[in-house]
Amino acid sequence: MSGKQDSDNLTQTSAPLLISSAWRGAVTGPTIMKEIVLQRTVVICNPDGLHIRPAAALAEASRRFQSQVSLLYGERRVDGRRVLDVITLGVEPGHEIVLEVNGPDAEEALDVLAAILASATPPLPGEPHSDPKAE
Amino acid sequence: MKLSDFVVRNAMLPNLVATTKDAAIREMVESLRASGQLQNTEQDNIVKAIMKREQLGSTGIGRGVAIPHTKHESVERLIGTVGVSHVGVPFESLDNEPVFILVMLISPQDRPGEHLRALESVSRHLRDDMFCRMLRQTTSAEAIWELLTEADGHQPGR
Repeated sequence: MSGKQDSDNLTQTSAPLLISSAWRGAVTGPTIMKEIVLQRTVVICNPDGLHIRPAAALAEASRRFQSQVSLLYGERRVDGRRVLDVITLGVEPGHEIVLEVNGPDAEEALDVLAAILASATPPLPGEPHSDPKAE
Repeated sequence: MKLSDFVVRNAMLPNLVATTKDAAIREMVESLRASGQLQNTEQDNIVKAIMKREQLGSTGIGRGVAIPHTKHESVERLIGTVGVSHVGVPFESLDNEPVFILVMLISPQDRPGEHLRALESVSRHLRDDMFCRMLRQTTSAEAIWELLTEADGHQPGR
C-alpha cells in the first residue's frame, strides 16, 4: 500500500523481494530461461511526483530489458512501459510504489528501474542511468 | 479533476496549421493568449519555458499524442488547450512517430499537486483509443468541447 514517507528517512528503495523463480522449458531451440519475479518498494522523491518525465524515463529504460515491468499502487497495476498508464496512477511525491519485474534479466532491471523511479531528477533521454551497484 | 475544469473552451485548435514542433507550441500558446488567458507580454517567455521543458525530454509520449507543458509565474490558475493536427507534427516522440493530438498545460509554479492531477486526468483520457480516434476526427472546437465534456462524464472524478 502506498503512503507518505518520513522525509527524514528517504530510504528510497527497499531490498528486492523475490516473488517467484521458476525454470521455463524451451519453447523454441535449446535455450532454457529462468524466470524471476522481483519486487521493490520505491519512494517517489521527485518533487512533482510520478509525472511525464520520470514515467518516460522509466518506459525508455524498460525497453532495454527483456523482463516485463509493472507498477503497483494501491489496488492498481499498470505496465511500466506505457507512459500514459503510469501517469494515470497520480503518484504524489513522498508516496511509495511497488516496482515489479518479471523475466530473465529481472535483477539488473530492478536495480536500474528502481533508481530511475526514486531519483529526484530522472536521466535525460539517451543518457545512461547510473548503476546503483557502482556507488 | 475534469478536463473541462482547465481546458479553455475558446482556445482549442481543431486544425493545427503548424507542421513543426516549435510552430505547434507557438500556435497553441498564441491561441491561449488570444483567448485572454495569458498576458501578452508573457507569450514568448511561456513558449521558451515549454521548449526548455521539451529539451529535458519530449512530451511526445507515443501513440500520436503530446502533452507539452510548463509551470509559469504569470498564470494564476491551471489552464490548458487541445490541438488536433490532421497531418501530423514531428515531435521527437518516444516512438519516433508524429503527433496528432496535443494537450498543452500551463500551471502556476506553486501548485505541483494540481499539475499532477491535471496530467493524470489528461492521461486517463488519452490512453483510451476510442477517445483519441474520435478526437482526431473532430473538425470544430465545439466538437472537441462536446467530446471532452462527454468523456469527463464517463470518468470518475478526483
